[in-house]
Amino acid sequence: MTDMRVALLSSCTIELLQKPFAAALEARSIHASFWAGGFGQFRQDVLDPSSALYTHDPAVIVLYLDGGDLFQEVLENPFAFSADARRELALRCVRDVTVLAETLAERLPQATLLLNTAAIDSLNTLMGLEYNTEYGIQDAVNAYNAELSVLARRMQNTLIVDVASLAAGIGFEKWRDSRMWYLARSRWSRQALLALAERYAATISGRLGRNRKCVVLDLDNTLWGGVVGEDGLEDLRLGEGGIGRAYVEFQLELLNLYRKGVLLAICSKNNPEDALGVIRRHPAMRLHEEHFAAIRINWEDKATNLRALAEELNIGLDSFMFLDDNPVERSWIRQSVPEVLVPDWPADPADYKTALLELASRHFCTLAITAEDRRRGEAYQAQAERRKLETSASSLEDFYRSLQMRAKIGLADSFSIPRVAQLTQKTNQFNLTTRRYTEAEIAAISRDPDCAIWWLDLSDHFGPNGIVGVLILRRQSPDTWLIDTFLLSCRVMGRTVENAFLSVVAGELGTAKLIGEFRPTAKNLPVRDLYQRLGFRSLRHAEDGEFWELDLASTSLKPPLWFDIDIVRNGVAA
Amino acid sequence: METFEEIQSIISANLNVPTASIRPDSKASDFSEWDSLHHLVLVMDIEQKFAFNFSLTEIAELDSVEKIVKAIQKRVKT
Repeated sequence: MTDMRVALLSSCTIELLQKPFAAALEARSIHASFWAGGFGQFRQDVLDPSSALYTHDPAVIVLYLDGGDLFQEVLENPFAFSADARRELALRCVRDVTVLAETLAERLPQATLLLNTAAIDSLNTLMGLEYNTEYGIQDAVNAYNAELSVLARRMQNTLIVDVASLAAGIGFEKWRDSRMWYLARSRWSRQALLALAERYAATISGRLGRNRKCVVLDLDNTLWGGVVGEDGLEDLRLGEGGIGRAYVEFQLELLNLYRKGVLLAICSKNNPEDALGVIRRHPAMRLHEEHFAAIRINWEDKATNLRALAEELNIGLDSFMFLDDNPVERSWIRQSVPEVLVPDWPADPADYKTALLELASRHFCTLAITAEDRRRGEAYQAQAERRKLETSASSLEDFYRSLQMRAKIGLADSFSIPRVAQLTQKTNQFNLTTRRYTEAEIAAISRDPDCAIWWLDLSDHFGPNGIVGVLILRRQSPDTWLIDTFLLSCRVMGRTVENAFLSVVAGELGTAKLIGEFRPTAKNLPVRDLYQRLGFRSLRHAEDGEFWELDLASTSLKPPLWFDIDIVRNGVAA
Repeated sequence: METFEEIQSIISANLNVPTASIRPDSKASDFSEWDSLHHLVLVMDIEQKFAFNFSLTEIAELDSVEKIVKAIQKRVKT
């Protein structure tokens, strides 16, 4: 926690801002002690050298001037003002603020002054007269805001918080609460107070150089729609039309973050060749390899990868924001690397760009752009290429336990056959042999006394996943079974489901010999060493496949302890 | 939870006073902390909790726990 003294000065009652402001700063590890000036006393508070403002000695001074207060006379009777009179009023307001900013710069040279753009209620007297007659008042508001910007760029100590756009984003009718105005001369609704507090806190955080520094991105269904290992590059949703445009605009906004000096990195479970193929060759990709300061595309757990990224980029884990469409990955990172910011992520890609902008306004509040910012991403990337990395272990077991996985395992029947067939058709990555079967074929195999089709249904504390695994066994001799098919949906890869599944099915076979087969395809490399990992010994490697053997008489497989397992017999769980 | 207990915990959190010190017959004037600004924060928190808005006149009149509970029960039919 950093302690910080903050002064609140305003043209209206500002005390109600104090509580949400304190909370928003607290969330950024800043403990604020406040001093609030009297209602409408901001000029005296600043100009009088003996005022309590200077006794408080603030590091940050919020001077909030509401458009409704600055332009009160014009709003009450716009027809009494000429264009010249309005302009004169706006410039007088800015001169007023300039004197205050200069006084503060002289008396509190270390302090930062936060001013705000002005806005007037969108529902006001003018309506059709606003831009069609000489009485429109928006010109005065615009002149005031433009001059404020000149002031902020001249004065080192002054920053502008764009309250006008914040209010417009929320909507003026929700920004104001007229009851609070009449009862307390406060200009904000509860919602406005929370939004304003958050924006001020983000600005202060940015001023202190405490922004997050790096956005770490998942790929499938985050940077593009679809799973490259399943759908292939051609069928990804990414492009100019329809849903694809949502991913393009999300990428464009990430690219603008990069241009503002934010680092981008990738942390994704894919075949590196598949994923890099998309990044290098997909015509609609707006982000290219050179935009990423570091890339981790592998099948290791993401916490390990994030730690490696922090080391490679030489920044703290608390500099990361991690974006992933998968709630299981988000939950794993939240519990295993709590320093990393893991925001909830919308399920609908239509909301991706807005979600990113909203997060950027709170955690990447850039207040200036330097030439160094523009080069930072490139510098990190060059450094990354020179470095070699190690991986570190993590408490994966705890994570598996926390998922509360419950597997139901049973033999295919008329209820499960359609889904089993569908999985053999669709699954590419965790699929040892990639044999495609129709529903009729699966039904025929299920009736064959020398075959067995097992399915696995997985639930976890996020809810049911349905049938996600299939094992098909064929008897080759009285006590030898060939694993004809072994597949898992990519949604549940990396969670030791395969260990649980095979151990339970092997347990049903008694003391037989199991033969595992691996037929390589362009997409199933992640499971090339599966049988080796499960304790099988290599039999032979042919061009069209590798064969492995496990003798259940001498080796027994045990399901991982973190699974709750039910074997379903004749439709009833044991 | 009873409406009174909800109100009790909102008031106690807002004024930073012990829950037990807020009784069904407590009045705003019993607490030095219950000034006009805290009153508004209190009103906003109650509105958020029960998802409705008091009128301008009501806010000015809600100067006791009893009046607040009655005003809520009038809006939120259980």
